[in-house]
Amino acid sequence: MEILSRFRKCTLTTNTIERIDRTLEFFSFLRFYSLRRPALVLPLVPVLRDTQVDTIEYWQAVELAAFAAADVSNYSLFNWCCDKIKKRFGDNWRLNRLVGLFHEIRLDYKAAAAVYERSLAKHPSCPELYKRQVAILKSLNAYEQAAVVLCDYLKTFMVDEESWCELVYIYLHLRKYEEAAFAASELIILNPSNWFYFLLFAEIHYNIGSYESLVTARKYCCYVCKIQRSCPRVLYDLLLVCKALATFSQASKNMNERLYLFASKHLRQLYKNSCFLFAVEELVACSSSKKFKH
Amino acid sequence: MSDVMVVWKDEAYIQLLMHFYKYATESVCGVFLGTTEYSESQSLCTITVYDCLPLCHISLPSNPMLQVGIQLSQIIAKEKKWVALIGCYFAGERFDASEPNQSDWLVDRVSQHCDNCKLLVISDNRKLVPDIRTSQVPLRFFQVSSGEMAKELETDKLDIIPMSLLEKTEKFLLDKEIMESFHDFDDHCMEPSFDWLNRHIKSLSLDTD
Repeated sequence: MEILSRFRKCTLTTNTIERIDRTLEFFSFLRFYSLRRPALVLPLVPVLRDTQVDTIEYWQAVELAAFAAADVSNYSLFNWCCDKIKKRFGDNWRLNRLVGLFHEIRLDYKAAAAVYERSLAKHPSCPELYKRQVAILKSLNAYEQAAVVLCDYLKTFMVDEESWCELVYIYLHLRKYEEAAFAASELIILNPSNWFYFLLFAEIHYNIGSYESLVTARKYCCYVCKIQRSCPRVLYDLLLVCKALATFSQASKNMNERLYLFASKHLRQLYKNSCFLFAVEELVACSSSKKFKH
Repeated sequence: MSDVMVVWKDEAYIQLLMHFYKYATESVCGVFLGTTEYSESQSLCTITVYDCLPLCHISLPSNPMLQVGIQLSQIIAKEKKWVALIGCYFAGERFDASEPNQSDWLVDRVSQHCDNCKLLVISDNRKLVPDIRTSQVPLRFFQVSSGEMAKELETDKLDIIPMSLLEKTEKFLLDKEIMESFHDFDDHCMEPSFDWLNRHIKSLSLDTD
């Protein structure tokens, strides 16, 4: 709810200068965390319209307003933002991205692709334009092609975490789990302090479903459990992996059972004050009675 | 197959649309709790949707939390006794995604855990417009049976969504606080304090009658 309290701060003040500052700060917050909230951005656009500031934060806020307008197909606001940016900065790749986006929201993907290609010819080092090309392919349901374009892009921009993440999700959509696992491993190498990437890697291996993959999934789940025990997803993943491994005769029953009981115990602790505890108890009990009969 | 009539309770329809609108740029799915009643001659089946449990919005169908969510939904339905897990819904991330073959995997997953899955609702994204009062109902309904292809239900056989419910839904969708406080099972799995059953929204929807 922090986002709402920040939004309210922008609307409650009557002092003009303070309102401008808070609005620009709020827009910077949204940009920093890549949050897409047109319902919160659009009510603050009048503040930008009435302001004559020439700071980088202001122009970034106008650009964000353009994206919010695109999200709700508000063409008049979108055109206002683009015109304002063009008057100030002239023709540049960021404006071209907005022009391309305008074609995309009108579902004219050919025109959008042409804009991006022309812009890339002048500015070949702009990652955002390549990403828009991938977005167009996804919109056209051409996920295989989107994966190819993204892989080509990543050969040049190989430290772009966001793109590796997108590649994981594209491969998951295509049910290409081995490729998704490779992309997830690249994410781990790029940012080993992000526990979510380890969990994603574990879940992909769970989906592969072979004995070796499930053992790998279990190892990674255990590692994430060590650092993030208060997240139900981690514990549920460990439960599922142990349950799946129990169907293999070569799996170590003792370790599997111990890990299953570990996950069950921590799930019960997590939900001990919740009215939802009964459902978790039954989920855990039902699964264990089937799999761990002595 | 007998003719089918679908009746919506307010909180189920409101939560369904909130799930679509909150994660407008991603695919979402969930399940319905409700009852199925047959007429004496077995020629009419009335499906009453009492509740909507929003499940996932991240990397469907490879999301393991979907499996857990469906099992927990089944347990919740059993605990309530008077409802069962009767169907599921899906909204694709693309503008033109509204075909049943895109959600076959969801019906299979739900059917693995319950025999009563009879209803599949898919969002017709082209009809999800800002003014929901003037738009047609943005949903396509399919009757599902194991081993058979999903059969689309004609809208004149369904209970029309009354204007009062559309107006009520619009109020919820426009309320920023309520939208921010709405969560699905994926959100709950990352932050356990998020109530994926959205009980506060259910009680609000009853209060605004």
